[in-house]
This record gives sequence, structure tokens and C-alpha cells, in this order.
Amino acid sequence: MKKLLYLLPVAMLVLAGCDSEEPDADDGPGEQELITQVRLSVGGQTFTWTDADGPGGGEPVFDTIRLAPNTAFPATVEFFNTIDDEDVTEEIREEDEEHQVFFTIGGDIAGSTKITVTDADENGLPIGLSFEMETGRATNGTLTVTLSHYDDAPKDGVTRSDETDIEVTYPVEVGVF
Amino acid sequence: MIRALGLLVLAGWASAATAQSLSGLVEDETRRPVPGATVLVPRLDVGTITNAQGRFTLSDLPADTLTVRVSFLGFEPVWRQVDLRTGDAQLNVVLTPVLTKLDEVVVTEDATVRDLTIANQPLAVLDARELDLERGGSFGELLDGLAGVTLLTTGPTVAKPVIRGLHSDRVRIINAGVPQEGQQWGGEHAPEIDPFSPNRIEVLKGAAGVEYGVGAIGGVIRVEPRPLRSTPGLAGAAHVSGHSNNWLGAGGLLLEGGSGQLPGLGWRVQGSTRVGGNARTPDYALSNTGFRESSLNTAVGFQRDRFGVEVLGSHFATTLGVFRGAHIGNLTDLQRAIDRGRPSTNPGFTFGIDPPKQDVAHTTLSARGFYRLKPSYRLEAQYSYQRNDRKEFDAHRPLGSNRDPNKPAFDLLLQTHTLDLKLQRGPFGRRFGTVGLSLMRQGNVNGATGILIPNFWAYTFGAFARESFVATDRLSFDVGLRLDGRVQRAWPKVRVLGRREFESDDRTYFSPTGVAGFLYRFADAWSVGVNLGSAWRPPGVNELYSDGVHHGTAQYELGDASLGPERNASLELTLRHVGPRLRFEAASYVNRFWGYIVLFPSPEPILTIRGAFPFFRYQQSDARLAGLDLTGELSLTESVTLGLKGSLLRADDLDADEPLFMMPANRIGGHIDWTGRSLLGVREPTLSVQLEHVGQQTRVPEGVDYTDPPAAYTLLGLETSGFVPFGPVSMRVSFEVTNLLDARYRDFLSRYRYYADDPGRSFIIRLSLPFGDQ
Repeated sequence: MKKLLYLLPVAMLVLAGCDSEEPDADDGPGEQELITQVRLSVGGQTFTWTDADGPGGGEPVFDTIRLAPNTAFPATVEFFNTIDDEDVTEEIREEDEEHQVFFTIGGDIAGSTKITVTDADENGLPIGLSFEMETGRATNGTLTVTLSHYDDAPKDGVTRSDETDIEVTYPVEVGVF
Repeated sequence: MIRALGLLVLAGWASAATAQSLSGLVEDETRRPVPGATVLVPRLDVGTITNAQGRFTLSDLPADTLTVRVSFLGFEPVWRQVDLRTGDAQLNVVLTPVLTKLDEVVVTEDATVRDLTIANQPLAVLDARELDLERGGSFGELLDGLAGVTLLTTGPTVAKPVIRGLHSDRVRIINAGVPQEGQQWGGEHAPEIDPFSPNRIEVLKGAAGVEYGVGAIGGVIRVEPRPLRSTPGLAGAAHVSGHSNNWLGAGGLLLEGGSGQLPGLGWRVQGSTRVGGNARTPDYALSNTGFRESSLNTAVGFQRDRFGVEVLGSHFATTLGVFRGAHIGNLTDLQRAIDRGRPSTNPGFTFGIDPPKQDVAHTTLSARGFYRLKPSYRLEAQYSYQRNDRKEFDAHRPLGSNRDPNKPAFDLLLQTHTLDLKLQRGPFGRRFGTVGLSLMRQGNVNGATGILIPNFWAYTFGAFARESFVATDRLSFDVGLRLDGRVQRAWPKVRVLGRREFESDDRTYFSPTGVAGFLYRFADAWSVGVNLGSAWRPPGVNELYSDGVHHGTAQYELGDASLGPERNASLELTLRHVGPRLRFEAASYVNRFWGYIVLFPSPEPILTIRGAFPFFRYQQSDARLAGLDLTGELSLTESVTLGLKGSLLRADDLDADEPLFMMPANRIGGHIDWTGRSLLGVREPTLSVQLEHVGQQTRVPEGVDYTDPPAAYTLLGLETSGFVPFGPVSMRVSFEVTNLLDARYRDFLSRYRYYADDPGRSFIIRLSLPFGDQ
């Protein structure tokens, strides 16, 4: 019995000789959330919505969209990974049959401000990276930009998927500034 | 090891005047012979064992007055004086059973006493015969249907046992003596155990003993493989099963042998495979819910009277699809899926598995041995190594990342070494016990993401002592104490100025575990057991460091590195009756927790660039789980049996003064069985109708869940089996229908209940064929 007890510390040393589990900072685990910024360009102005450290942690910061009333603005939406300074929009364009950007207008501007998507994928279905935003009367509201990913159910141009990649809401003020 | 009782070696020869002989008979209370009992003359260190008729002879004894000790596992040892001064003598002994201990799998002749005194706390046992009728399903499904045991499911492929509302890090699984160490913290991580390997499963409910280490706060599931063959010859068994719902096909093959040249040498090889496709609910198929699983177990052992060694190796590998309909982006998506009421696609049947999926491989190597120092001292040692490799793949890699579909989103390698030493002492008169030491070293490497589980290492040290005292043949006491310490260093990724960086975080824990109980057989057919226990567990790494969105439920989970250990105190009262027609076990319990770690919802959702998510933090609060489990059987006639089982559970967060979330609903079930002798050439034909009713879980906290708990449901099942002649042997054939009425239902503990129904009807056929030298 005693001899076996002496084996215990020996065995501990053997077990401790295993690899260290300290992570290597360079080769370390990757991030999952890689879009950190949405950039909306409307009539030459750029409005950003930024979650600098991805979901969780620091709170997101976002601009207010301020536009003149009763005007049609050409507009685009872009997606960026600001941590590694990458433009993710190009990947969406390459896989445009699996993606669609939806715009939802809320608040008081609903009914007067309109969005028309101006691009289409190979199947003739809207993508939503380019669009026209036409303002109406001067009032306030919100614009929600949703990037849907189609993987399980196919894209039909109308229905959102259950796999939302991005969903951000901007405050919108229509008026004379 | 169980059959370690062999001929005791002749040693310490003392006297020269050796001419007398002692012979006799050993019987149990019911006057049936006890083969294999040890008859020992301690002064001379001379002994023998009884033969198949319970008889023994000791010759060449000195002409003297000698003290003889007769013992057999599971019976109280008997000391007798014999007088050999005037010639040969006769000695007839009647043994009375004692409390049967869990670590001594003993088949006593008197089943009534065995069943009444099996443990002083509730224990459910599945033996090989019962397990054979369930073969083909997953490991978790084997346990379904035991009173107090429910399943936490993630689709048709992942089933985790829940003991009285507790699971994952609160339930310990001991597989072939080795504490199973995978990523068991995860509710969607099924135990990595070959469902064909168990020969016996014991579920010990409640704070369980002191021998199982840290974490056995809610219960212990002991999985025992077949004992190694001790007789010469070669034998085996083949099992196949087919299930119609998901076209599951399963097969297992067992080969075992014992050496004729070297008695005591035995080996076993056992392999199995299971393949299934998309499961089907009554109305639609569940996309990407197939799986492929295979495993191989090997064992070789050698044992003699005083020592034995056994080496085991096993490998388990599975690839399982994760239901596509549950792969959602954010809270809006979840609400849309709930409102739709069914998945957005109905893909039909396929065996194909695409991402999202899990790839898990688990390898265990262990070596154990025993050495009988003296008849009353038995030393056991065990070393084990486990390698658990879990890879989880997302449906699509995030935009902007390396989008190689073969790159997992989640890649964890957990390696565990354990070393255990145990010394069993006694029986000395009316006492016997065990002391032990254990050591565990764990290392976790996260190859893909720093958000869920960080890299860590941990050492856990433990020492325990347990003592049993048999006061009378009807009353026994049991007490145990254990001390454990854990030292742990983890490298979570913490947020530093908008970036995430690794920072080491050290934790040390030290705490005792204790149990005390008694068992009183207050009448011939009745016993009552009382068990008081207190156990603890340190917070899991997920509870300390989680920081991210949990897929499938779209909830943001945030750990808390300042969480302390969780402790409980539980009181169990078990009443057993084993009568000629009626037998039952009724167990009531109160399990009080201090610092119960629970995911607590924050009132405000968290706003992210991916949308809004419900926000949950790991917090500690006091909790109480109380309930009642009942199982009973009544023999109506010689061939018809009526069975009843039920479980009630009431679980409350005492700080919030609200029910605890995700607790199994109350349930009641029954079965009526007919067993015949022979019918149309089929031996032991059986027919069984099973009914289970699961109530609606009405006790849920306010404002936590996204939808109302699913409605109550009732499932009907039918099973018939029998033995048919197959050449020189008998093949067991069984035919079963589960969810006979193809009921639409969603279980409260199904993680997919927001998205889809549970599977519908399935026809199952099972064949098992033993062969070789039985």
C-alpha cells in the first residue's frame, strides 16, 4: 500500500508534463462576428452604424440619417470588418443569390418615405446593395436594414430568412437642416 | 474482479498434527445453497470456497479448537468455533444478507432481500435483459422511462439524461469505472458512450455517495460493461435493429473468450455502428437530422484469487446533423419561426448530413487492477486517459472570415487523466468500508473560438472514506466523507479596448462532501432508507467565461468570472416493498441549493449589429428542488403484470421567488405486460402496451421564455418479443411501435420546441443472437 502511495506524486509529475494549454496569441482562436460596421451612403452623405467589438462588450454607436424632404436620393449600403479593415460587401455581391438586404421604414416617416431596390441577382431577384430612397414630408422615424442569408430555405425576393446576418436600425430625421 | 473469491492459498502452515477435516454446507435464509462462499480459518490462513451445492471440505487441519469465518459478498460474515480435538467435524452455516453496496455487483440468491436492501437512496437499475429491449437508440434513450429520469433533447440525435431536473455538469457518468469527461457542460452535447456497450446501468438519484468526486451533485449514472469471461471458450452475440421513422439501422457485435491454457485470462471485443437519416414528425421531415455513429470497445484481463488486472480501450465517433430550422440569426428570426409554427422547409428524407453539424470523437484507455492484501483488505488502482475531440460546424462561415466549409466554428480538445486508489476493508465483525484517493488532470485546447470555452488546465485532488455498519440483519448505517480541491488556470478572451485578448485567470476551490444514511427493513417485505447528503461543484468554465450568442436559441450568454462553488444538501426518503404480487419503490426528496448557478434573464435585450438578442447572465441564487418518484408493479396473474410510474418535481429559485426554468414537467405512465411460456414455437412470448402522459410545465418564471410551454401530451407504445429457435441457439426477436398514434407533440425539454414537433411514429425491429460457448 505504501509503495503505491509513493507512486502518486510520480504520476502527478507525469501528468503535469502534458502540453501547456496556454493559447498562442497569433494562432489563437478566431472571431465569429466579423461584420462590425454598416455604411449607408445616401445622396453623397455617409451614415455609419458601428459595433466595434462585435456583439456584446461595448455598446454600438450609430449616426442619425438627416435628409431633405420630398427628394429622391441614390443610395448604397456597405458592410465592413473594421477590426481587420476588410470590405465584406464584395463577398455578398459574389453570393448575391444567397443574400438580400431588406429595408423597413418605421415611425412617422412610414408612408411618406419610400425605398426602391435598384439592383438584381442573376435570377432577377432584388439584392438591395443599391437602392433609391425617396423622402416625403418633414418628420422623424427609423430605417431598419436587415441582411438575410438564404441557406436552408431558398431566396424568393420577398420572404426574409431565419438566418439574419445583420440587423441595424437608424434614426431618421427628414427636414431642412 | 467480482469472482475474485477463489481457493485461498495455503500459507502460514503452523501445526504438524494435521489429520482432521471439517466439512459442511453453507445456505442462505431461504435454505438455498450459497456457492462460492469463503470458508476461512484465519489463525492458520487456510481456506476454501463452497462448491455449486454450497458444500465445502477442509482437510489436514490440526486437532484443535478453531475459529472459522464464513463469508460471501452481500451476506453478513459468520464466525463459528469448531472442535476438532476428537476427530472430524461438521459445520452448517446459514448466511443472512447485508446491505448490498454499489461497488460490489452481487447476485444474492434471495432476490427479495436484495431488492429491499439495494441502497439507502433511490436507485434505478437496467439489466442486460432490459437493455437488450432498447438497443439501437442512443445512450440517453436507454435511460428514458426510468422514474425521475427525463431527457434533454436537441432534436432526434442528441439526448442527455436529466435526473430530477439536473443534468450536464450536475450529473456524473461513470463508464466502466472511468468518470466520463467530455464537454458535458453543454446541453446539446450528448454523452459519448456506445449504447451497445452497457451490460448494466445504475442510476443513483440525488447527492450520490463520496466515491464519485466533484460534480455528483444531482446523481450518478454508472455504466458497466459485461464482466470478462472467466471460463474457457469463445462466445459472442450479435444485435441488429431497424427503425422506420428515420431509417435508423444499428448493429452490434460482441466477441468474448476465456483461455483454457491460462485460467483467469479473458478478453472481449465489441463493436457497433448506428446510421440514421432525417427524422420525421407526423407532418414534415426535420432537415439535416441524420447521424452516423460507430464505436469499438476492447478489454483484456487476467485474474487470480488474490489479484487481477484489466486493460480497456474504447473509441466512439459520431457525426450528427443539427436541425437546419433551428439555425437562426437573432430574436426577430426566432419570433418569426415561432409564429410560423413549423419549419420553413420540408426536405423529405435523406441520410445526408450537411453543416451545421457536430463531429465528436472520444477515446478512453484505462487500466485497473486489484490486489487482495489479506482476506479482509482489497486494494484497487485505476488509471485512465480520455481524449475528447469535439468539432462543431456552422451552416455557413461568417462573412469576411476564412470560409472553408471544412473549418469548424468550434473546435475543442479535452484531455483527461485520472488516477484512483481504493482500499476496501472488512468486513470486520459488523463493519466494512472503503478509503480512497483520486487525482484528475484536465487540459482543454480551443482551436477555433475564444468566446464559448477558453483553454484551461485543472487539477482535482480528492480523498474519501466510507464506512458501513450492519447493526442487525435488518438495520444498517452508512456514512462517508470526502475532501476535494481543484486548482484551475484558464485563458479566457477578455475585452480590452474594443478588442479581445487572452488573459490568464486562476481559480482554487476546496470543499467537503458528506453523506450519512440508514436502511431499515422494518418488515419482511418492507424497507425504508433515509439518506442525507451534501455535495458541491465548482462553477464550470462556460459559467465563468461565456460571452457570446448561443446558437439555436438566439440568446446572448454572459459568464461571470466571480462565481463561487455551488453547494447542496439533500434529504431522501425511500420506501420499498417487495411482496409476492406487489412491488414498488417510492422516493421523496428535497434538494436545497446554495449558490445554484443559473442563467438569469436581463430585462433588456442586448443590441448588436446582428440585431437584438435576449440577454442572459450566469448568476447564483438559492434554490430548492423537491419531488416524488414512484415505480411499481402488480402481478394480476402469473402472466399479466401491471406497471405504474410517475415523477413529480417542484423546482424554485428561492431568491427570485419564482420557479426555476427548464425543469421537466410532471409525468405519469403505465404499462400492461403479458408473458407466456410458449406460443407457436416462440419461447417466452411477451406483449406490452405502454402509455405515458406528460403534463404541461406550468411552473415557469415570468417573462423568460419566448412562447408558452408546450401542451401536455400522451404517447402510446406497443412491444412484443420472444425467443425463436435458430439452429442450436435461440434468437430474440422484438417488434416495437413508438408513438403508435403518431401524436403531434413538443416536449418542454426539447431544445427545438420553438421550431418543430418531436418525431412521430416509428416501427422498430430488433434481433439478438447469442452464439458460441454460452
